[in-house]
Amino acid sequence: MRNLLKSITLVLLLSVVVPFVYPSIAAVYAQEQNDPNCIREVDENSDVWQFRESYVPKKYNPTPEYMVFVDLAVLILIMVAGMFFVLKRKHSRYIKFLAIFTLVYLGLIRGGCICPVGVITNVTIGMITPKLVGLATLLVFISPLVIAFFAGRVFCSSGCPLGAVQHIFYKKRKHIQLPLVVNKIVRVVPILILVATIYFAIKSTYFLACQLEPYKALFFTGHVWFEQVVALISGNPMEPKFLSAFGIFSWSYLALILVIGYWIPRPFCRLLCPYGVLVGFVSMFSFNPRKIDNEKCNLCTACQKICPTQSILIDRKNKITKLSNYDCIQCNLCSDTCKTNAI
Amino acid sequence: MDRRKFLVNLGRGACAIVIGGVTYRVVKNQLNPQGAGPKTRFVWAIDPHKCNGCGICEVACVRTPSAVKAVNDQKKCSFCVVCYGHISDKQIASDKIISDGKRVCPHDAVVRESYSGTVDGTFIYTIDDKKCTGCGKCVKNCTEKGTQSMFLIIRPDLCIACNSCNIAAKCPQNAIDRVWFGPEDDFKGEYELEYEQN
Repeated sequence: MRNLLKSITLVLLLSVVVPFVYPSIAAVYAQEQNDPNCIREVDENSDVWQFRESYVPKKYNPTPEYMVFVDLAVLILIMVAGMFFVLKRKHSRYIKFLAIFTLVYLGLIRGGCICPVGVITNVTIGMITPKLVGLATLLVFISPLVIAFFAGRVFCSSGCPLGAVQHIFYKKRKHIQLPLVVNKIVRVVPILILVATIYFAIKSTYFLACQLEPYKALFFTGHVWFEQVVALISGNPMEPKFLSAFGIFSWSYLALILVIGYWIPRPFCRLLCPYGVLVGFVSMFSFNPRKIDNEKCNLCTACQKICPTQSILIDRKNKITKLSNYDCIQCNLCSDTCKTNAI
Repeated sequence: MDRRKFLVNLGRGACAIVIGGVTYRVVKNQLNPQGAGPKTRFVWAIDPHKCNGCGICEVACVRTPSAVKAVNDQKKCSFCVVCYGHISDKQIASDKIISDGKRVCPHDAVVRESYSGTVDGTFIYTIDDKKCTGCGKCVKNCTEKGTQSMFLIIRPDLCIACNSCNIAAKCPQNAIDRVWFGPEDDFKGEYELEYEQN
């Protein structure tokens, strides 16, 4: 109850601040964009524009523009399917199939850049200087939040390519559960990162979340290889050399996170992801929250052991059961394990 | 539990206002044709007048080989007999250029063809994009000594269009900008070489 009160006050505060006060604050800050690396608005009469107009030969075959909309449609379809599986309490392997599809299509083939992690920065920039951000980005940002209203964080388990990597590579049974105190402290970190991301977005259009994300090395390499294979089949190979993306640092970071993620499930989602905070907040007020039926529950704590995000807390002494929809990623593992159908 | 229900509904309303507010802010700006941004995506582009051909793009790009390639604009090129982007030693006989000349390009990507078919006369220089790695050596020479017809571009089909471009962060000249294409002017500028029309 107290948690609910806290979050409601916060969201109420945000609802006043975000649409009304925020743009004026942002406008003041945005004028200090002296950082050389920041994205600037380009004058249409400038050299770059004139140059692009006159010199982009047609023999280059960039990915067609409509692919962005195809990706969006795929993302929304996946999430609707995931919502159906969650609401109907289907077996968790269906969700896993969706995750594998997301990993292969949105992650490896399309380069993982449908991810809403970087979209936070994009939308923030778009609110200040709309010329820099398109409407497709806004849709990527909004659709998981809207879905979260109906069925919680479906996006995190089935729609997110980053989540999909973590969902597939972790130890299903007997993974390490963080101690409760550590878990409470760790949950604050994403909120701080969210604030920092927005701050950097306003200040210098620096994509903090994208820099922190470890899986980009994997996705970009997959994307680049896929494009090369397509070009080879279609008859005009792009480059003769073996392509790679990113340096040794990014790859070792990725390996580190993957190894950690095998023992401690979902390290990125729980430790870093700023978008998870937003989706989590919305899914707290979702129309169909995941609940534990106190009468049916026999306090076996099987669900608590299997939950990858430690969102279930069962107190055997006082017979209290808790399921936090803020943390729950709707993977359906708990409802599979429960023998009394209490969830 | 009525109080709890009320609070949850309050929370839902507040969430809806936040989402709606963000949507309204962005959509309102997009409806205004002057403030509207791209519908889908961006491309990164190098400003040729700021670029000095230092060759950092070759290393800094997340792709190896880099998405940056050198091109030769035939409208600006003066078709020299000895090209600084092609050969580094100028004191050389015209007929020995192909065999003996010290190439500027480490990958031998700059191709020299005789237009008039003789040893002297006009020559057409093209850059083989399959060999080019974007080191910018020919560009540097052409900018300093020539007619600035060679320059580096970021190929739109090779660029992964990262949110934050690694080259833009490292470019000493700040020559890299984020531009976009509308559907109507999407790569339409087909470039026809002048000598093909003759």
